Amino acid sequence: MSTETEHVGGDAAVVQDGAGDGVALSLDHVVKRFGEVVAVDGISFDVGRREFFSLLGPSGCGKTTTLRMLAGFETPTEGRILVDGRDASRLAPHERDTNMVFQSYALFPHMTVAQNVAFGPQRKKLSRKEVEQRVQESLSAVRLVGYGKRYPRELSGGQQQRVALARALANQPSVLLLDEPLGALDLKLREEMQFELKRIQREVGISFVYVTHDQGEALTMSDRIAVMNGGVVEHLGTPEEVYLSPASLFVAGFIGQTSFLPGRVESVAADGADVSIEGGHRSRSARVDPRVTVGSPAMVVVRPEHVRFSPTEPPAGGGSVPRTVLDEVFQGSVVRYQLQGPGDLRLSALVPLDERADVHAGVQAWASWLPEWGYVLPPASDSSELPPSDETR
Amino acid sequence: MVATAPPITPSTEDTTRARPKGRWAGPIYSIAPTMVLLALFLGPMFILLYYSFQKASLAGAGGWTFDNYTSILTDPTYGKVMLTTVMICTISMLIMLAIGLPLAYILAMRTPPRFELLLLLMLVIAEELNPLIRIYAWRMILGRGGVINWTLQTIGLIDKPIDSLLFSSTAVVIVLSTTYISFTTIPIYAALKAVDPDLLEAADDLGASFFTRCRKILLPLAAPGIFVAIILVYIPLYSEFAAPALVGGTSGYTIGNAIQEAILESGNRGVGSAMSFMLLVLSGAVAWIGYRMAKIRRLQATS
Repeated sequence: MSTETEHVGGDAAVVQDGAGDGVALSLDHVVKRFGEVVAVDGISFDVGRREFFSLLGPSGCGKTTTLRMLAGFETPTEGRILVDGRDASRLAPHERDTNMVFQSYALFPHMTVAQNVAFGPQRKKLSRKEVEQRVQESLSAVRLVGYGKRYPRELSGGQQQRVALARALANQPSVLLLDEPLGALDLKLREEMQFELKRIQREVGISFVYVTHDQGEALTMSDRIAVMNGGVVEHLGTPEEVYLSPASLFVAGFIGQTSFLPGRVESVAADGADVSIEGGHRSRSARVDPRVTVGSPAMVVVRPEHVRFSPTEPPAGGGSVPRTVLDEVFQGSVVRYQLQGPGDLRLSALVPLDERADVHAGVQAWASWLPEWGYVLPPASDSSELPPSDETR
Repeated sequence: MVATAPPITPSTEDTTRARPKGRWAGPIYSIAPTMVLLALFLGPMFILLYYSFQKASLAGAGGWTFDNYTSILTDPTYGKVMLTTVMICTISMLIMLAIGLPLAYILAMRTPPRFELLLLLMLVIAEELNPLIRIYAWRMILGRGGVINWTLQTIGLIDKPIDSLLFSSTAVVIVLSTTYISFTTIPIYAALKAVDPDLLEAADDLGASFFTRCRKILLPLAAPGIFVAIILVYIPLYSEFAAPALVGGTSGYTIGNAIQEAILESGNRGVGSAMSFMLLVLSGAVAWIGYRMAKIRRLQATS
């Protein structure tokens, strides 16, 4: 009860500061260089209060460096980091109002679960009673009540993960930083913990900044996702935005399964664009990246789950290409098809079992998609930026 | 029969015959080293114990007696020597820990990997110096015309040389506490090397200052290493006699000197043996206390 009041009080204080515009954390043109290497190349974004914010990207994209700068383990070479409206760029980790959940959990092996969780509150010189109360609250938030007297080594991986979370929560930070916290868990546990994390985040009502390379995790939990590549944020948006309207080919390829169909833009109108796809076919797309111009090369981005088959050329509208079925894989609820196009171009399709088409390996068929599912993007300025995808594989 | 048997079976049987496996493998393999230990280690100890209960006699054994022990326990001189020894050894050990702990921390956690081996090697090589040469080097530094007195006189801080630098218990402490630095540092280094650096970052993140991190995280996790360092260094310090003899003078006379004098100079094998044995029991007690303090059992279960 008292902690609840503290929380409200904390927020109120910030409102008085004039920084209570719902921003818990902001990055202002943050750059981090290690010698010659630029790990983070000028990123800016705000994280709102109670927001679940993910930094998503492949290894080496700068997401972990960014998180470590937020925690205070690294100092930005340029730019500023504001926590609760206060410049925290040069503050030591123990001086700032953020707490981190480590990928390795980093539980103190010589302390019990309760001692681990109490470590933060004790450093804040709280009374014994308050410390005890925080420990109980945190352990109950992660559903580990009654485990206080055990040692970390006596717990399973999932339980250790929860202790790490409880320990960070016990400090009641403005922002909780999570560094691939589910990386060491097996698949089933990982999926369970995704919903657990989301529930805990809703219950404690603090901002989470979550670093992951797993796009599924990011899509499942996040309010917003910053997709990072090469030290910059390529796309910042809601899971739906980054999935359906990716800002770049990299984002399109990194989030979900994607096929790319290269072509040339024939016309652009308010309600969509026509693209002639290499191999002499035409695609009508309802959604187009604003940078696309008539006459320029473009990529039509199609998700496998939007591809359907027909034995003959489908009526105009949307896109369609003739393809040879290379491979058909039964995956339970869905069937996956690999399609060979003209040249080396490949396309994959994911068809629900109950809509399974009468196509098999070796058969010629028309692959088609509705206008709203073929997203048109300008091609990458540098082909090396293209992520691994079905088309380039 | 051969045709139906899996081809692997005969070879498996062969190895079973040739090399002991399973429950008895351990004891069988350790027979030889155990015999060597019994003969070379426990044997002399029993001889020591036997002599300590024998009447002093140049010819050898002179009949059973408790006199050796009672004379040690009742003679106040031995008590004083023992007190001096405990003081010298404890202070030396504390100095070595004060140097060894930060050194181990720097080596294990603050040294770039490419310099780590080099620094470790330098630490070990420094120890490889002959102990006598080291002691004589200290005599040159601490003596009347030594480096320290010469420097202090030259810059005019003192009028005449300080004599108490050499041939004092202080000199013994200085020499001893620089003798076993690597034996103190390396076990602690090994213990710290096993500590996940994330733990320190986590403690920092949770609000712990550097001092708190050392006290609450590093020290408890280094405890097994500290315990090993104490076993390796503190206990042997008690039997040290070369350094006290060469730089100790009268105030730095230790139990090691007393034992050496009793056996080699006075020919009093009984008293010497009794003192050695008492020292052995004391060492065991120190080791046990160290073991408890390091909470080694709890930490062993951690890893």
